[in-house]
Amino acid sequence: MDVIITEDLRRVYETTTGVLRRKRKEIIALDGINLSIQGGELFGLLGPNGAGKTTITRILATILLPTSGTARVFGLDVVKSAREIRPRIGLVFGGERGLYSRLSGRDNLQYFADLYQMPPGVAKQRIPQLLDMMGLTERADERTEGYSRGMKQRLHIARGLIHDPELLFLDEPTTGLDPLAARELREVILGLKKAGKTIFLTSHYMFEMDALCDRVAVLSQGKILIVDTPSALKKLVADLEVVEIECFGIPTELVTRIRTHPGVAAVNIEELEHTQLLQIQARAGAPGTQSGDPPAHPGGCLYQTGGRRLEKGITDGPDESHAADILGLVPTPIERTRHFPIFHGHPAFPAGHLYADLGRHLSLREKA
Amino acid sequence: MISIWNNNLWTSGDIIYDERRSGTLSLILATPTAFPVVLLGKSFINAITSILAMGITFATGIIAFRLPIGIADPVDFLIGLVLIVISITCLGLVLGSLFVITRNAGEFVTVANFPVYILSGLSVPLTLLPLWTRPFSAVLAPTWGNILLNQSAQQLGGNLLPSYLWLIGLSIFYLIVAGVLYRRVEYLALRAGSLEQW
Repeated sequence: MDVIITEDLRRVYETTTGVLRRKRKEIIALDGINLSIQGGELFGLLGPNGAGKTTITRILATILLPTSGTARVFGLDVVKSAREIRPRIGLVFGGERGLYSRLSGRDNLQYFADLYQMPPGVAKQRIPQLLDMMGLTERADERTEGYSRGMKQRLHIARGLIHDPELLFLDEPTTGLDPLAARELREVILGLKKAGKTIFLTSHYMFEMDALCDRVAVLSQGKILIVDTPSALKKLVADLEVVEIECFGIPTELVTRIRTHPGVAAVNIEELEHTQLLQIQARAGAPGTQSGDPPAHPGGCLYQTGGRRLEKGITDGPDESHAADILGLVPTPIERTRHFPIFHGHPAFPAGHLYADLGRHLSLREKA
Repeated sequence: MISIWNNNLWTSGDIIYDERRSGTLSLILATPTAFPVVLLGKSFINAITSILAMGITFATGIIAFRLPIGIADPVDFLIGLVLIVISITCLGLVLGSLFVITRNAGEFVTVANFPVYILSGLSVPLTLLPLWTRPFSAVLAPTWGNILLNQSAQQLGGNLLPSYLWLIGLSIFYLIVAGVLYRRVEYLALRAGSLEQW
């Protein structure tokens, strides 16, 4: 049975520019979205920032109205039957917001148990269970303002599950988490799927979708490009690889240089809590993407995560030790970085030049 | 009276502003509980605590300025106080709807604050105001609260029943208006996608 169906769903935001001569501008966030998601499915929505992932999630969760088209959850229209849908869904956003920082984790859950009109006896049983499931029991009575980001995110999920919803929306739940916390959270999500929940997950990490989802829709500029299984999607991008570098203060001109490199398909920068995550998608075998030892660079410290290596470590299993090394965010001196093959030796980037640029910014972090 | 009014008015707004800022406003709206019910509970508790401000004002007058502050009719005064708290909580609920729809509601409320002082007789006696202002004064709970507290505290005489009835009637009226307004306001906020803006 289809739990979610959307037909030609469209959402337009209006914004204005100027002060005296205000001009209205329309931004198309969603443009003709057609989806169907079955009960018990873990469905992923993959796309870059601004693609419209959160907009779809909000519409399906009844907290945003579509401009046109229809969306039905459990066969009910999200506009006309929002009140009937709400008790049956759970909603979890990524990030720091969405919790009462001066309340304890337990009180946050208690408050939402009340809002979901749970009988006190049921809530009393369920709250300790959820705290235990999320590994928060020991610090359940502390104010959440002292929680780490990973703990807050687990509490978000506990809050989303407080009323035992049939359908759970997880909007970029691992964004901003360190790889270890993200991996723990992915294990929690897999556990929820095994428990029979229907899960709607958004992310901009393909490896996450690959590790978790039954099917994935790729969203770009408000349109769904393709819907398929992760393995089928991976075949489409078999000649691409992604390298992620955690650093900070990357200058725009450097990003432009990387972006215009012939071996690079796309570059994305994600703002983390204290750092930036530079994600470079490169064509395997393109000029300048040959593996090799990177040039020596004095000082600087490269935190390298993710990309293909991370994906392999998580999904394929045999490379666990390497994945653990990456996930542990072990600082790797640039001189010993082995998995940064993209620009090495390319004439556009004299040996060590890019490393020196990145290294300088990373060194600043070390000093800070 | 001013402290109860101000405290409640701003708290209704602050609650929504805080919910908006902390990203919990949309999460609350995603629950089956109607948002006015959530706000009503929070505003009511706040109105009760605002009575402390009245106590502090009394204490300051008595201790610091040695003013002879006495309440001639304590029972009527207390009944009046309870009705005022309920009524102003309900009025705060109406004004709170503004804060759901726009993050700039604070400016509107600031502008509206002093006219309410004047119209409800908190800054000048109502008898000094022109006749055409009377209907506006009549629909403001602070007007009747002010009359009630003055009458019971100073034992000015006169029948307190009309003031009681006005406060009860206005509370019901505010609740109905708030209920209608919130339905409309929720629709507008969901349409504009403004719940997360702060």
